[in-house]
Amino acid sequence: MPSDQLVLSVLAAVFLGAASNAAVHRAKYPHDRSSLALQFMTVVALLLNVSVLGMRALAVEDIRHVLVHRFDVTLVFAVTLTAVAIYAQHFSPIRGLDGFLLPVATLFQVFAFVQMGVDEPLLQYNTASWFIVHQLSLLAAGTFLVCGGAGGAVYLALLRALRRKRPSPLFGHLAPLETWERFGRWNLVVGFILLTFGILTGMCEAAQSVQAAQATRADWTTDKFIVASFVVWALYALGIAASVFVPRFRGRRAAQLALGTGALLVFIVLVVEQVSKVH
Amino acid sequence: MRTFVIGCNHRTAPLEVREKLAFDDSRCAAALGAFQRAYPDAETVILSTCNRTEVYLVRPLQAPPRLHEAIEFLARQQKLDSRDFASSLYYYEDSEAIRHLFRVVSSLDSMVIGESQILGQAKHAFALARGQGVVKSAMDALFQHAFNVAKQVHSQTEISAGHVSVGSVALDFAHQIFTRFDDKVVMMIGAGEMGELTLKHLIDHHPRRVLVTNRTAARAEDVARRLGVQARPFERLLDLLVEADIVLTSTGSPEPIVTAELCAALPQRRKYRSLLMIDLAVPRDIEEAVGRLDNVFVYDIDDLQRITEKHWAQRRSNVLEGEQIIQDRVAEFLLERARRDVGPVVTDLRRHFEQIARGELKWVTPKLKAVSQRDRELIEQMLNRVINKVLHRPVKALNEKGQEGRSRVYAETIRRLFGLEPDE
Repeated sequence: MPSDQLVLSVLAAVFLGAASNAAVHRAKYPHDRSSLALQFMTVVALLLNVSVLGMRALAVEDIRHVLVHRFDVTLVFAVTLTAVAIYAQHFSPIRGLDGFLLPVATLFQVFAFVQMGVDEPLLQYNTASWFIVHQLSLLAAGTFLVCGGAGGAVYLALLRALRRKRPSPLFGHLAPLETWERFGRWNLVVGFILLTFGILTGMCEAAQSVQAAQATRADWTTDKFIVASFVVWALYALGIAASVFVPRFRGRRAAQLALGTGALLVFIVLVVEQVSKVH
Repeated sequence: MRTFVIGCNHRTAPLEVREKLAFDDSRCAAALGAFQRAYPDAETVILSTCNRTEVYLVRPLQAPPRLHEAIEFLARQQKLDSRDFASSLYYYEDSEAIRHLFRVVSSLDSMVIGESQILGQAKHAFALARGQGVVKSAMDALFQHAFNVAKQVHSQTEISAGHVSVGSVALDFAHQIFTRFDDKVVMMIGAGEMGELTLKHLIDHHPRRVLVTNRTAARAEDVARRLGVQARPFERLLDLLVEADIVLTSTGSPEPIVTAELCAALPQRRKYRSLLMIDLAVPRDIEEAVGRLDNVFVYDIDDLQRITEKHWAQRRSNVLEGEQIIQDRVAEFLLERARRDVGPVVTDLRRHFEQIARGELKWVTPKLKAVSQRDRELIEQMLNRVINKVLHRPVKALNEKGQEGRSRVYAETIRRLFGLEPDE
């Protein structure tokens, strides 16, 4: 990677880390007058990451480039999460979400550096049409599901504060419980639809891929990433069915599921995919 | 000019006295009109709220009203004998009066420290007085500065953070659970005074429906009629709990009326929608176990009071910061005013002495023989030095007194002593 891109990425990581720290600090001490600094750092981190991605796309004169290399894809995910966090900072109905979302964005930002060594593209361009759709839908699904998970975390934090019956700095700083319940449910539904679409397009892509053709059926059915992806898909399907048809599953349990599956999704992307042989 | 304030508040006067001294708008306007006729050179603002009645006055040094005249004026306006309330009054003058005004509008002197209502009331009182023509430049500068100080105190300290009444804390919980109120049903069980007050708080936020139920149907109907809400039979309590989203209980029942047994199926029947229950009764109306049900949040009077006390403590800790701001701003205001008051007096005084010196020089010059130009310059220099030395101490004293808020008194005294006209 060229040194200018590297410097910008490192700077972005520093700003994003500082912003996450400030966002978590503000969740604990909401009266602290650090909101402007937090917003500034988040926007700077976003702009730096977008410039890195732009420079990389311009270097090969192909915007699809950012969906092909592991480093770029991870960075794109960090960017989408940061963008949602910025939206939450300015949009009061989901106020407080940034404190839970920015640490995840930072995690992906840092993980992008781990991916930096893997410089060969995930796939050749000539087979990439299904792949691009697959990547885009999974990126969108990931954003919705991680936001749903963060929403679940907010719900549980707020619920705990309300159950403790003590004055909490979270009161007033976070949107009401009812909002987070609705937010979690809608993110889960939209994210699940996109996840399903992403998996299906991934299967279509795999049917045409040269790499996939070289893999055996056993490679596909026993691959840890593939299996884990279907487990997460099944869990989401179960969760959505439960929240629609089982009233008891609303509220705390739905938030726990959103948080758990969101965390599992992040774990699969960050860890399980690294040991996948065929994906 | 002298600035002073007389008045009483919740700390110095019992409610009966405050009631007698309170002004509504029409009586206040009449009093201001009477004041203007009686004391055309003075300026005044009458601040009257449920917790205080205060008369702020700015008058020329030798002009009325003096303290006893102001008290008598107040007594006349309220048709009272001044002896009945004089012992409940406080009196501050100059810098202390300014400090008091700044504390009042910044809500540091309020019963509920940090409340913002007083600022609006002070602005209203000021506008009323200005409308009656009893506010001129001195009072205008004082009140504008006070409003500015109040804004600074509220924005730079956390004196207004956190609610300090049980009703508003209950509302805070409701806001933290529910996104909107216009689709919610609020229900009150019982007819206690605190319940009614809290219900009024909630009604202000326009819920979809408000219900009242009570063991004695007539009392429920009475409360419902008074508040313009609907009464429901107490026998249907469980159905009402299924329908309601926010429940207030305020009965005098010795036993809990909302029991865990009654509510066992409640979450299921409500399809696990959130339910906020505020128990304002002592002994409690809601069994503790009800609060452990899914999506049911129960808060009793102790929970609410614990929060109000914590907010109180936070506000009290912020009072010191507010006092510091006020101290600085009083000094700043006095300095500004001193500059305004003292500057022209010093100029006039110097001019006065210079005129005398020039007159004496004119008288003595023809009498001196063979005075060279150089000698004449030396005599002029000597006269200037004498003027400077004579003026040094009074000017220094004027500046010092200005910082104590008494610059106008001294400035006017000097004008009178030396016969200086204001426009001289």
